[in-house]
Amino acid sequence: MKRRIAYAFALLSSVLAVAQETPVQEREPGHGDNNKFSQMYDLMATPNMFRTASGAPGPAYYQQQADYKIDVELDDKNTRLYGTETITYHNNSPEPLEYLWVQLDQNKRSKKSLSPLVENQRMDPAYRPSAFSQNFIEEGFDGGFNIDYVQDVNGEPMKYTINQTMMRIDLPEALKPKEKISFSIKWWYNINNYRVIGGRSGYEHFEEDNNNLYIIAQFYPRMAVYNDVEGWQNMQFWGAGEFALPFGDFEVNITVPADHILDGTGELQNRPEVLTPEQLKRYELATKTFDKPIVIVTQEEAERAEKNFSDKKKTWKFKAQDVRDFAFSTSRKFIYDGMAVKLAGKTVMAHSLYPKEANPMWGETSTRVVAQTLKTYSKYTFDYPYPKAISVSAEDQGMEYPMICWNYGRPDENGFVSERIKYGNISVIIHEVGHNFFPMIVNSDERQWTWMDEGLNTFLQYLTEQEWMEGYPSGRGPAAKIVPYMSGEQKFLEPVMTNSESIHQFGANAYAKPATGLNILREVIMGRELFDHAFKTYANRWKFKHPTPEDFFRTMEDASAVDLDWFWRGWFYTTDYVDIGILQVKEYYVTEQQPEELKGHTVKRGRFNQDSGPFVYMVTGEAGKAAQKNTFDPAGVKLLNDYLQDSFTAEERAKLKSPKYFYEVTFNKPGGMLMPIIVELTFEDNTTEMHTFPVQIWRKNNQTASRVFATAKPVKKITIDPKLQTADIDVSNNVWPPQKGNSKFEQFEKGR
Amino acid sequence: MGKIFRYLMLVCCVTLLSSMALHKFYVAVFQMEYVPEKKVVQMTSRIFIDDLENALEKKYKRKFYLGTPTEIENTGEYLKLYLGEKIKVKINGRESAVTYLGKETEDDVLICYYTLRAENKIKTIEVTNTTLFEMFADQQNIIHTKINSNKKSLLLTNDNPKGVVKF
Repeated sequence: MKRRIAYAFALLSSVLAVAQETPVQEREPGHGDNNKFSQMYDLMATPNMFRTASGAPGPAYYQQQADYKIDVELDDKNTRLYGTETITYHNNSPEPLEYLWVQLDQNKRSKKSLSPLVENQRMDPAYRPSAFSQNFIEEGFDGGFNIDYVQDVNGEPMKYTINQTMMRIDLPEALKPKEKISFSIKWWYNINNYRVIGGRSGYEHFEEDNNNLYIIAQFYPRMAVYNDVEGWQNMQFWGAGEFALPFGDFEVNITVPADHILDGTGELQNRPEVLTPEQLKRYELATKTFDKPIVIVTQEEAERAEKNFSDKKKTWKFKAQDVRDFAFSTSRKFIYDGMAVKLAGKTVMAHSLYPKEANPMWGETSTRVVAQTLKTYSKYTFDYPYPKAISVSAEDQGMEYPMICWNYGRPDENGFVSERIKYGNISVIIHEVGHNFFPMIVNSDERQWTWMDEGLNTFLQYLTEQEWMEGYPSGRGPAAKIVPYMSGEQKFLEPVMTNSESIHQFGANAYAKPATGLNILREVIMGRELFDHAFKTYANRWKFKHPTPEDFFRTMEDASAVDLDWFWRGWFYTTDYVDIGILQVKEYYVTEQQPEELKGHTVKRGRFNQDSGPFVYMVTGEAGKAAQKNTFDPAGVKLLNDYLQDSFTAEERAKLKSPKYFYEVTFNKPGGMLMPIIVELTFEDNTTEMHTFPVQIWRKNNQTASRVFATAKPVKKITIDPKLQTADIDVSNNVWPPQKGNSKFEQFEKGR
Repeated sequence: MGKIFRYLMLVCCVTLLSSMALHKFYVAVFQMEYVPEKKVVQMTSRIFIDDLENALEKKYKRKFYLGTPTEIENTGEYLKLYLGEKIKVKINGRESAVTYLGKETEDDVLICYYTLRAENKIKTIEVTNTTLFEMFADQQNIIHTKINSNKKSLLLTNDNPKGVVKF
């Protein structure tokens, strides 16, 4: 009754507010289904034979395959890379293809690149001379691909057209379903010094010993993805949206100076040719050592090599199966270690490559962190299917490829490692190694949706960090950490479901927010058991396949029986934020005396009858207090006492609850995002009691909700979300009675 | 020509880091709350430690090791100097001194505490806050105010470093 009055009042006041601004409107217009629980038929693609409504691959699901045979040679003196490749492309789609699209990612750094032209510029008030020169005087770096030829299997030239970072190869005859085609490309490019020019790959130069540390990726023309949702994914590589790549098998031969140490995607085929007998023995030991990294190429060996500058060459030969990409890292400076990692059903290797500048930090932690990551991620998804994972020390980096990744963080020149660098380094290794699972294996389209790999990966990164060390200072994952972002100015916020190129705050939007959302689902909404099963189902359904956002959303519901449309709708498709508050708390008292205003009051009995009393009355305020007189006791209310005496035996009565205090709490929701209401009651003796009301409490009215609490002890304080689990952006309305002042500030002042 | 360095800057600040794990989020949050009984505005700032360390290092040409056990002794003095220069507040049209009280760390964030005197009822607060603007083109400083139980926010950016809230 009261609730209805409150609701009516809320409606009335909103009508009044409108009335002040617009001419009097006698009748509200009608509306569609604008309830936030509305099911997502309006936003999701219709399920079909390729992708089902359950979120699984459908009976007609297909994916293309691209196999590569690549030979590359590194020119260390001129920092160039020369390569030839033969691509065999399998058309598994039901459609004939008239042309193929190949990605030329290095063209982002070509002189003709349009990427710099789409950036906004402003004049700086002051320039360093070097910056002025680079900005206004010097010719820029030319790092695009130089294509020498594109040939068919007979060595005849094929017709191709380059549009920025994409190359279309026109086929003389359409490639029919179930057929394959082979063609070859020869190319070279100038490798970028990524610490000067920027880039996800390139080289780092060490002035002291005049050596380069190469991290080489996007180094060969790569097939674009063709599938049932995008056709050809040939959106240009502008810089933010990463990659979409089909799976395939690789055979790669890499020729580098003979004194380099190198590792890359896949299994090395000629280890005895490239390592010394001593190093081979250490490698063998590493494959049997599970408790600590074994140094395979020592610091001493690396320090000797970095003075060599050998003119001889060595070729490292790799094979990799079922990978979407290939990358490698090479330098004279490399120390190399490894250890074996036991997963549920297999053993794999964890490795690190790092220069002496990274020691002793890297020797102590990197490979152990790789091992932890493989274990934790495997537990939540599937056993890591590749034979190894490598962490490479590369300053300013954090970038992932199948089986290999680049990670920042080294001691400073005095050997000092700050906490920030220490934890930043551990986190980046977990994150980049973790990317093996998303998107290298669960192969989502990064060009379109950054969050699908970054968000899911950041979520598992958080779980891994907490397993690595209890109380690890995770920057992303805990709900409270996303509050500054979600309470920010709306014009700088986009929904998570926004294309990678259009996002203002990339780290918060595509990494932290989806990861936090998953953490909230796991901890607050679904519970760990249901969440973990559904998440694992998604990972297993889509490993070595190409999922879309809908496949994820649908699987999470399909495997858990938890309706999450409201959550996807709010957290992923809008910029709604969580803000739930306590609007009012009323204490009620119990009396048999009929209050004046309840004369003639009836209460419904059964479907058709009305009772006219006598009743047990609930009265609020001073009148209630006066009517109840003493602390409530059922024995003192004759009507109630008679009922209890008649209905229960003495033994049963002894087991009944004995509430003494009655409260009606009204919650409001200034934020648009729905959330369960988590309520903590604190009693006068400082004991507490938790109540969680499922999110469906908002299902008919998205604005207000109310609950009645009958307690044995007087309530001193009511707090919503006391453990900050829901990303409520304003907790000042979360407490009753309202707290004065900034409690955090008072605490700080007291502590001084 | 001409675009390369700017491009480089943007590349460093926005594009390149953007898809990597260390992707940064350039936002500092300032909260101001009026406590009439004490006649003060209590202010807290939450700034990423690594960004602040870099800004201090650039300006004062030395390492501070902010928020670590090796933090240099008079870091507080430098913080007071730096933030004092960056944060200017006018209450009811008159400049009000920002008194720095101290700091604490919370994971990767440095929380600083300040007070500002406010003898009379607050009608307007004007905030100029250029913290870290010299470091990042897309730094955003969000000011949340709670005065006379009114909550209002400002978003200050390089293009728009000053804002006024009226109550």
